[in-house]
Amino acid sequence: MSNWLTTWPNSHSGDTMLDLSWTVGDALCTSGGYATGAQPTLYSLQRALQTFNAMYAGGTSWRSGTGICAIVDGSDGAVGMENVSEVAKYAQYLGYRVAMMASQLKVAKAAIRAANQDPFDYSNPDRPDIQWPPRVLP
Amino acid sequence: MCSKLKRDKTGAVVYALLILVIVAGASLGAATLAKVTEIQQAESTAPSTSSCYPPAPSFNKASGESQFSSFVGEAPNILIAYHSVSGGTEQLVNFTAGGALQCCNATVITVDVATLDPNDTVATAELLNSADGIILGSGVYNGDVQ
Repeated sequence: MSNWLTTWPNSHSGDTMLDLSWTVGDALCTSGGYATGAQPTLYSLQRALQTFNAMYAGGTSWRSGTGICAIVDGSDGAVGMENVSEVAKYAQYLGYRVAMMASQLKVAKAAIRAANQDPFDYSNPDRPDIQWPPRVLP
Repeated sequence: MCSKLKRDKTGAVVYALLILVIVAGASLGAATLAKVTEIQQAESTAPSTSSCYPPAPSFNKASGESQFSSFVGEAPNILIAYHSVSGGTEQLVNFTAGGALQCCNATVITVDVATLDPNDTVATAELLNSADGIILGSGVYNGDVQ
């Protein structure tokens, strides 16, 4: 996953910066224990998304505010997940939340385009061709 | 004979009063109807002062339907990109995909990033740009993303 994240097009590597401004992002992970780095992993995935301007949704509960992480036991080739029913519930809510927010954002983006505005035409210091300071869309 | 006459007179008075009440009620009703029509015409011709604001959401307690619940956004494309070594992350991805599929006629694509070409940045950009929602899944390795 970390190798793949480094292939995302960015201006530092000479490519056109990937712009996920109208995209909802979220993260999930599995870990072998409670103190093995689940939270830093979720934050790393969140940071990767927010580097490209994605909006981070998180889960629907305070338990899954930065995403969801399940504790698994992968020893001896057998995968067991602790509290599977609870984890499944939080994961489903997380997926639903992302889909719902993405759906509404898609409507908003279409409305801006219908008003002859470019939804990506916002002020961005990485885009010198776009004016700065920001202006408010009607 | 006298009592019968008295009864007839009383009946006539009652009938007269009844007819009077009916006539008065009809005229009052007609006047009210005319007034309502007049108000409706005035409202339809007057400029709307609330055109800048969306209508207040309605909620039907009996059916449990509200304006919000009946409002359906556009069907989003959800990309779940993950990497799973032992299958646990894939299982969690399947749970998440099941939740996303229940909303808004969403299309969910799950991709194991190990199957993607790391040098093809164009394909990566196309994949990411085609998604309205991106969920990243990973195992934990040495306290960070695997």
